[in-house]
Amino acid sequence: MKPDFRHLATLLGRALLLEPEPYNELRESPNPFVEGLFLVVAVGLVVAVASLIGSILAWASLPNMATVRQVVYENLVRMPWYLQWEEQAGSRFVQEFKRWYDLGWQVSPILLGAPGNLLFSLANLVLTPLGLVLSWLVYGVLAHVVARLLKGRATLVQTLGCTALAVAPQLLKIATVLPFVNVGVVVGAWTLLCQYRGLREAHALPWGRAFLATVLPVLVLWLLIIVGVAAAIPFGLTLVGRSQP
Amino acid sequence: MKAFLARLRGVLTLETAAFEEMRDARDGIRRALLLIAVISLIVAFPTFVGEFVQGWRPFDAARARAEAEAALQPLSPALGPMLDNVRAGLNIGLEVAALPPRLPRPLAHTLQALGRYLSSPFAWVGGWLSYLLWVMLAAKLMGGRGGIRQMLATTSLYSIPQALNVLGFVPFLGRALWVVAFTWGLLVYVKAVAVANDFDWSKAALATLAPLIVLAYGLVVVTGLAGLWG
Repeated sequence: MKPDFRHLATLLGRALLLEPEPYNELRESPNPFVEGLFLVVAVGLVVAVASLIGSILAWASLPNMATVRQVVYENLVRMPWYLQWEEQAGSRFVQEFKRWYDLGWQVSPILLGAPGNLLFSLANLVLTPLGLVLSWLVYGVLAHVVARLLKGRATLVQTLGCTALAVAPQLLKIATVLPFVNVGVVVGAWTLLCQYRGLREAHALPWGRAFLATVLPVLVLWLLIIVGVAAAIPFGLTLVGRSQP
Repeated sequence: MKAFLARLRGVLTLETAAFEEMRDARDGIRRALLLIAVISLIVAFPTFVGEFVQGWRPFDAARARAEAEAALQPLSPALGPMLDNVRAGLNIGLEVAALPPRLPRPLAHTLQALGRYLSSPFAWVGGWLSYLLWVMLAAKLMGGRGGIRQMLATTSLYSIPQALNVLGFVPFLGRALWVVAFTWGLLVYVKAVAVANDFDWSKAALATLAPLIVLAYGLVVVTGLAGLWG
């Protein structure tokens, strides 16, 4: 089967505008899961390519990050608070400060998605579609369970098909092909609306139950993330402590 | 054009028909997004022009330092012993700003200014949507009849008075216009919620302000609990 990209784009555009027809079309399609998977991967790839181009342009528009790092460090160690601490705590403070400063520069550009790390941007060509597929599957399965508990009627593949269309707001990230464009919270908020529309159409739920089916999986996922991060921080700190002389 | 202006006047004078027309439009969501995007770009345009022009000038470290010092001057008494640290922090910013980008500086600065400018529709839509989700929930819980399409379409009209903020850069007048735009926008928003949900004014106002009321109540509770434990 040859994918019809024009139809795909129309489907995503209409899903983005929260029209019920695309969601119904995917629910009634012979294989909603395969179509959904194709949609999610295609959007992930398009967004990753746009982001890569934006990262290259941003990298070119900024000074060399190694120089920035050096300039910031040289100025930090001349600041009054630093000199005061150095006088009080001696060389131990100097070593610890340098260690945490270097660690910060290694970790924060990745966490904050700072431009300049082209290798990381290249890796996103794989990581973005993969991440979208994983989050779609996890959310879709959780939402399906909640929707069925609330007397929803769709099968799992129909739920996954409809929630796959909630990937449509990711297309807004195409704007990041221009460096320094920040799409902010709009993608997350709009995704929630698309998920609501998808679950409502897939399961023929009234608004209240569709709302719960949309929101409860998000709350569960956030809870799991918070617990996971809280558990990982002490472990990470121990590892960092051990890796240093 | 005539019809557009008549519709615009209808919204600004809170005529029900203008809101109903938007509520019932099949392409209401598309129009809503377009409206907010266009107004955000209009409002951000003077800032973009300023940044664009500045980007084509060579970086003047001495002037930037003088401006930063002038901005710091009124804060000096409050900062007290921290002042030297803040001044050293400013120095970091100035030295980093003076570093040459890989692309020619004017081109790099144009890209930065353009990126910030084109981010404004996303910021506006994101802010509008984040608040609207809670208003929609409040309206539904209060028995509102409006669906997502109706709510998105009508409440987007709040952005029309915000166009006044295009003059935000004018000293004093900018602030006064911000107050006018905010108040007018709030009235349009309440009217929009009323029309979308078939509410009267008081119910619509309650639904509009419900997220803020809940947030304020939550803050009071958290502060109270913190006080008890503290």
